[in-house]
Formats: sequence, structure tokens, C-alpha cells
Amino acid sequence: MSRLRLFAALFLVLFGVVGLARTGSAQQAGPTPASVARMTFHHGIPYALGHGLGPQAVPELLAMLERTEERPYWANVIRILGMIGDARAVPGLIAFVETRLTGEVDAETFQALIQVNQSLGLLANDPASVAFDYLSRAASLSAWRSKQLRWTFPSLRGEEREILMLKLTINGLGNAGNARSAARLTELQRDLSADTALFPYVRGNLSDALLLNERIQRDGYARVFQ
Amino acid sequence: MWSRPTQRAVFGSIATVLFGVPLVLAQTTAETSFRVRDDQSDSLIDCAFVVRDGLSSDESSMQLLARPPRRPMTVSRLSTITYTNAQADGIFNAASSLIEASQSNADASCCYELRRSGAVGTFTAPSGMVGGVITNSSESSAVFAVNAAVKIVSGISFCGQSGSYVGCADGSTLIFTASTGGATLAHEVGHLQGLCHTSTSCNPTCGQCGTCTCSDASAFDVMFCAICNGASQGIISSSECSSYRDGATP
Repeated sequence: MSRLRLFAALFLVLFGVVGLARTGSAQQAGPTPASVARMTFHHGIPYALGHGLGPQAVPELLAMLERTEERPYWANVIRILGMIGDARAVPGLIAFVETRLTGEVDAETFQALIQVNQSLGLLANDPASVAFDYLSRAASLSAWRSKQLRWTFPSLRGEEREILMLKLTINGLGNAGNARSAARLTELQRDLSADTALFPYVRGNLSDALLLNERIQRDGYARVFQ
Repeated sequence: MWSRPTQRAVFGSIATVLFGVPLVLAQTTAETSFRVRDDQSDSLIDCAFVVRDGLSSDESSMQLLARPPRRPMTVSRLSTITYTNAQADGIFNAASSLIEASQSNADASCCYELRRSGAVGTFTAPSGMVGGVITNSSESSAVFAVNAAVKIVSGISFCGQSGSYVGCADGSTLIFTASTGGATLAHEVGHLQGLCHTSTSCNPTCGQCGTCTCSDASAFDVMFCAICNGASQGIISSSECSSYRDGATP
């Protein structure tokens, strides 16, 4: 009888410990959106980490994008918003490029600006999305000319800003990773090849974007952006 | 921890070497260990120096030019951007400080320096590249082909695939932006010397980082996947120090 009691006590203790451990792990807080955005990743932000923050991180990240003191982390914020894939981020990202900034921007802001179109691509996986429609319409030099951007950066000469944004729009369509963006890229490759002045600038982006698009369709974001 | 001017005072000029071993060993040409004293902080740094023949056997101290093992690296910038010798020296000094300083018992005081070799050169943007930003594989390959250990561009939106990057490496040379910091330089040179990522919780590989966050116990290591501690992120092990020094010029 006493041996039975001993086993019973051991059983209770064992399950009690397991139960406590489970409770403890459930209560462990994951990384906050700000703590991830403020890291400097030597090799880029791992997709699993950014995506894993989830839609609940979007309001905090959008608030960081509004605060000037968070400028060193804006590029990360923008990349993570794309990885999360929540459509609430789209208006803020478009405004960041088109209307938010004026005059000569610093290097940190420039790093953020050149990230927007590629992040919009991650938000454009659904061909019915606002982000996909935006990138599809923005995939021409005339579209970027008509936006009349008000920011500039010292390394940009003449119309290089518009050409750069077009190249990054093409990269964004690659990131969209769906059949319609692949079709749009193929269409651009055919149409722009006749433009001997512009095509040398975008040829590499188009071929890379088509390859990436195909990989994403085949393997998914998590495997492609490990 | 040393400041950079203090290190220059020790290594860039005639320094006093305190013998930590019997003097007779110092009269050989074999490499042996000495302790170099920083005159300003009176701290001791373990370094290995080659001492030549010809020393007087009754001397208890001597004057010699002491220089730690170093890795000279050439630097070249895109012709359309500004990047000065002083800016390059700033990142090399910052990286060297992280490697050399000992922040804790687990942090080796690694006698090793990264240094600029020659003046910062220039290169022209490859065909199709605009604004000094790398956006695709052909631009990336063309910049990697520039004959310099470190290439400086305005932005990196492509490194193997599109994304947001502070630097890019091809296994032998590096592409940085003008704002890339010393911690990234120290980290990338570690990769060039064959070091892999460190972690205690998230199992990164040499080339991937998984879900490592700053709560990891290794988050202040040079070879951690990200910078969590700004300019103070400099913990390296003794074996990692050996790997750095394998690539050094004595």
C-alpha cells in the first residue's frame, strides 16, 4: 500500500512539473515587433522571424514608420511589413514613397525608400490585392514620372530616381510570386525590349524577377526567403 | 577596454614590452608570448610577437616596434558617392576594437587588427546600375568583380535575392554601403576566415539565421546573426580568434 502511495505521489509530482513547464512556456513572450525591427541583420531579416511577428505587429510597425527617431530602423520596418503580408500596411508604404518625404533624404531614409516596392511585392501575392494593382500600374517609366516624387538622394542624377524605382517595381512583381505577376513581367520584357535606351537598365531585373517569381510559386515564401 | 588612440599609442610607436617569460627565450627567433602594456590604462594585452636574435642577455626590458597581426584590406567606392579614407578607417578601427577588446571572461582579447590598405579607390557603376544601388544579380556580380576587398555602394537591394541588406559577401570580398558599421565588418571577415554563426537557442547554419533574436545568450557575439548591442557587440572565443589570426599578415 505504501509503495502504491509512493507511485501515486511520483505520478502527481511528474505531471505537476510537466504542467508547470507547459504553463511557463505558454507565458514566455515572443520578440516584440520593435525589438526585431531594431536589430541589424548582417544577412537580411530571416523571413520566418519577420513573418512570425504576425498581423498583430502591423499597428506598432506602422507607428514606427511615422516616428522620425525610428529612422535607422525604417528599412527593417518596411521589410517586415511586407513579410507579415497584412494589407493594412499598403497605404502607409505607398505614402512613404509618394508623399511623405521631401528634399534630399539621408542614407538611412534612402535605404528605407528603396525597400518599399520590393516589400509591396510581398504584399501582392494575391492578384486581387491593392498592392498588386499598384505595382502593376507602376511598372513603367511614365508612371514614375507622373508621380512627381519630391525626395532625392545625392547619388541620383537626372532621371535615375525614376529608373531606380521602376527597377525596384519590377523586383516587387518578382516578389509577388503569382501567375499574373509573371504574366505582367513577361509582357514588360517584350514591350521594353524595344526601348533601346531603357531596356539595358531593366533587363537584369526582369530576368531575375521572373526566376524569383517562379521559385516563389513553386516553393513558397518561407523556403525562398529562409 | 581600449580606445583606438590608446592602441595606436601602443602599437603605432615604440612600445615597452614586459617580459612574461625568461629572457633567454626572447633571444631566439621563435614566436613567443609577451604581454604589452598600454601606458595610458596600464592594462595588459596578450599578444604573440616574433623576437629576433641579438638581444643583450642582461637586459630586463627593451624597446621595440610592436605591431599585432593584421589583415590589410583594399577599399574602393563607386565614383558617384563620397567615402573618405577617414570613413574607411573608422569602420576598420571599430571592427578591430570589437575583436581586440575583452568584455568578459568568455571574450578572448584577440590581438588582431583590420586595416585599410592604400587610399580608397574608385570604380564606375556597372552597366544598367543607377543611383549606386545594387538591384539584380548582374549588378551584384559586376561589383564583386571590382578589384578591392571592400566595395562601397549607395544601397544593396539584392544579395543572392531581393531584400534589404547592410552588406553582401561572395566568399572572398565584401560589398558595403557607406553606413555599414564595424560590427558587420568584423562579422563578415569572420565568415571569410571560415567562421559560422553562433547561437545558443536558434540553431543557425553558416549561411542562414533562422529565428535568432536578441534574447539569445550568444546575442553579443561577433558571429551572432544580428547586431543587438550596437558598437559593443564583440564577444569572440579563443578558437574564433585563432581563425581570424590565420588570415593575418604578421
